[in-house]
Amino acid sequence: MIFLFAPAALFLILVFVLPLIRYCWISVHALSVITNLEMIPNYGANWIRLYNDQRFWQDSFQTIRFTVTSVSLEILFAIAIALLLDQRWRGRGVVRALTILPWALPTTVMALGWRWIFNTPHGPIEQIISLLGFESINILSNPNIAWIATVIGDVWKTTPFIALILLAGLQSIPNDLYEAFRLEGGSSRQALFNITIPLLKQYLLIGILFRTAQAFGVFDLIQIMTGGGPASSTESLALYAYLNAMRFLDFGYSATIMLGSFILLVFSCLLAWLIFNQIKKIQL
Amino acid sequence: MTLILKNLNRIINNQWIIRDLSFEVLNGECLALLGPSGCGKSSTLRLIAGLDKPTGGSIYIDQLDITSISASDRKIGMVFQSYALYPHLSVLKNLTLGLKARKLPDSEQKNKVWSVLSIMQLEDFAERKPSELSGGQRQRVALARALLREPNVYLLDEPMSNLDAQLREELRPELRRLILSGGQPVVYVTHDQEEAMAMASRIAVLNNGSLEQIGTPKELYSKPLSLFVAKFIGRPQINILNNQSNEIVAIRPEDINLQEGGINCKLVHQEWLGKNQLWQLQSDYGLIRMLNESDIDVPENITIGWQSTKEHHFSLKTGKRIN
Amino acid sequence: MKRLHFYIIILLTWSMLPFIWQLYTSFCSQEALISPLRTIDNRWTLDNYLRIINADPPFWKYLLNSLVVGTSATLITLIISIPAAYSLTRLKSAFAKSMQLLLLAAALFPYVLLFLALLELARNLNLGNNLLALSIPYSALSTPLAVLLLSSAFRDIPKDLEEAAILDGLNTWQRLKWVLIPLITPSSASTAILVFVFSWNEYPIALTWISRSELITLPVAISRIAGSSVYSVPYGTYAAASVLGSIPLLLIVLIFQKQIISGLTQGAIKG
Repeated sequence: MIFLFAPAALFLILVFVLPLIRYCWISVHALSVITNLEMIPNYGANWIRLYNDQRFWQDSFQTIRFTVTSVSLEILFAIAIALLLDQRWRGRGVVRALTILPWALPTTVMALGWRWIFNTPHGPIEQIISLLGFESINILSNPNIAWIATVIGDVWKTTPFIALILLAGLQSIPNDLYEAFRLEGGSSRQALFNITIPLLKQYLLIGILFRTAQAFGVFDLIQIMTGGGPASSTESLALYAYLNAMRFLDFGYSATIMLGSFILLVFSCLLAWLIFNQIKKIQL
Repeated sequence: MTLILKNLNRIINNQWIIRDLSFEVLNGECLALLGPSGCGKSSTLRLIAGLDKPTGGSIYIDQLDITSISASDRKIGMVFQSYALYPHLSVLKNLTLGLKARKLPDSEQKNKVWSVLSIMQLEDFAERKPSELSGGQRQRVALARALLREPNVYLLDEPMSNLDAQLREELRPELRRLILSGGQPVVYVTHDQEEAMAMASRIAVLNNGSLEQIGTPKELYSKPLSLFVAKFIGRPQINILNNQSNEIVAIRPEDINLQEGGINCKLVHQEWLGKNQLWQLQSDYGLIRMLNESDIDVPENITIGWQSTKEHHFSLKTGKRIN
Repeated sequence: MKRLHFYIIILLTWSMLPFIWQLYTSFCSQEALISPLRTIDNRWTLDNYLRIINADPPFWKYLLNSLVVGTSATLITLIISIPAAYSLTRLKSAFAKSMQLLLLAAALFPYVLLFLALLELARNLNLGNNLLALSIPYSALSTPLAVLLLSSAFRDIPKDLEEAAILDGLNTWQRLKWVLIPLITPSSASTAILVFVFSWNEYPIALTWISRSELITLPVAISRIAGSSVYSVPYGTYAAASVLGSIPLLLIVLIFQKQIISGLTQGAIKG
């Protein structure tokens, strides 16, 4: 039996295990244009640099802020959309298909679309603002709010993904439960919080897990929508690592950033898990 | 052909699933494996089929030790409880698949399948999918697949349990005729004693993975070797008398008579069974079930008795028969 | 019921408005774009479409490239994942359990973080600028999710069926070919579509593995339009490109809606 698994195992080793080992190796070496692309051991130097690199910590903050905001909004909207799609009405199938569409299209396509929508002064949002007589807010050039535009782009694209998962969860809840609840005199609002949400917990968890990991690695959207700017305010860790490798040609440091991001992700997940468990205990 | 099981054991996670099981099934004989659920009857069948490996012991077909032969080489014709028909294939293709695997020439495949289809009266359904067949028809297709295997042994795992009661009774003689006509040993698993008695010439009663007793239905009924068998075979269930002695005494409801000067009883409940009626009586020996002809009226004072030769005695410690 | 319709309209507006804006933009002349709300004589034009169709290489080349990569990645993923998924359902449960956790972790892994090592791989094995080679990382990255989805499909097949096939004398290969793989067709289809959509849309690896302009895939081609001018993005051209580039996926979503949904939701139930 095991030989049937072998090709897949080989694949997984090739793209997951070997790269991670390779990163560990590169991250303790200097490897850049300065070293003529020779590997020169520099031991902990990359890691010390990472520790003292303000841009890395700023990007970490930005990545986490982006992830938490996007995923929370997505969950809220997804619950609403799933509840809507769970009801019976004519044309539901078509609307459901149209709802998936943002998820199915390439991120690059829509990232550029959003860039156009938020364009100053020609984009529709700025046009409406100026038509109403307000002052231009110049979304993508303002370091304080540009990241919100990227969140909007991400929420728009990935909410359908969670909504469909939650929809599957909703459809797995037997109708008897609601009927029994109504017979006992519960309102539909109470049913939402006492039956629907608790029974959706497992689906919510899966959705959050998948989306958190994906949002943490956000790259396409940021690179195309803002290029990380203005003033690196929207730069994600993946983009910073990419820039180090492809623009500054400093592969040693790029690998270090990627490992650092990975450690940060695992650490944040563990922390979130612990907090989650703590909250559960308090509730009990 | 003869099927022999010798000291078969199966242990999973330190639990006995099958314990020291031995029996023989002769040429053209149908042996029923009977017992409550979880007694190991289906596990036994799976060991014979080769779907599971025994922890110890051996299985022979005609003196040939097949214990280490793989399931696909044992030539076993098995009918599963669920029938296990391939849902994506038509009846015809369901039946042809095994022949195709054996690389029989096309014309031979066709001849064999169509001749079995005609024996089973399934010709009109050859192009249907299993989901388009009734329960009885599915059972026939499953049986046809077993026949096509030209097996050394037939194994039937509760083949009737998915059919309604009336159909079950109708199909029994046909099933008997079909599987016994080939002259192979047949092992028939069921939890229904009535079905076991109707289908099999001998019955093996299993309990907790071990053989309680093997014999003809009559032997099991008239001379149960353990309290378990006595309680399992015969309906209504045998009475266990509460007599405070150092052995268990049991008497069948149908062996009890009304008898003047016998044991005093009070009628608790009366149940009509058609030709018979069942009385539940309260007595010094505890609750006693008694079977009477249905035209008997309940007398004012019920006194009962029985012939002492009809009593069954079992050891209090082991539950085994004494005498 | 009125309220329900109101919500449906909000939902549709939210998901469709950006598309509609693209469609509108793609038919606008450059002057019209600069002042979208003012009245202009020559507002409507097909120039944007003509420009990308007549470009060198022509736009359909990128669609073809994406199609080639997507198709081969999908095929490779299925060929690798189906046997792996089957073996996972037949292996000892403790091993299968831990394997499943590892696969889940791999499926969750933000793969962008792997691009540098994958780029080195491409350089060392001389796989750069090769469309078929690009489908290797795509299928490898898709394998974890594919194996999880397919093994749950295999597990859903009643055990009796495979045992009946064993007793029928079918060997492992015949059982897979004649009984098991046909029975998991719906799950294979869902998996295939998810892999195809992923490969069609993938950006960072395509960006780093392929540099020759006649070999780039659709997402990279579109991002190149954005990068072609430092000061202003030619939005009209881009919008036309994105409309044309969206049509194949639009069709896929409309045709395979059921499979996509069951693929996504199967993924949810897996965990």
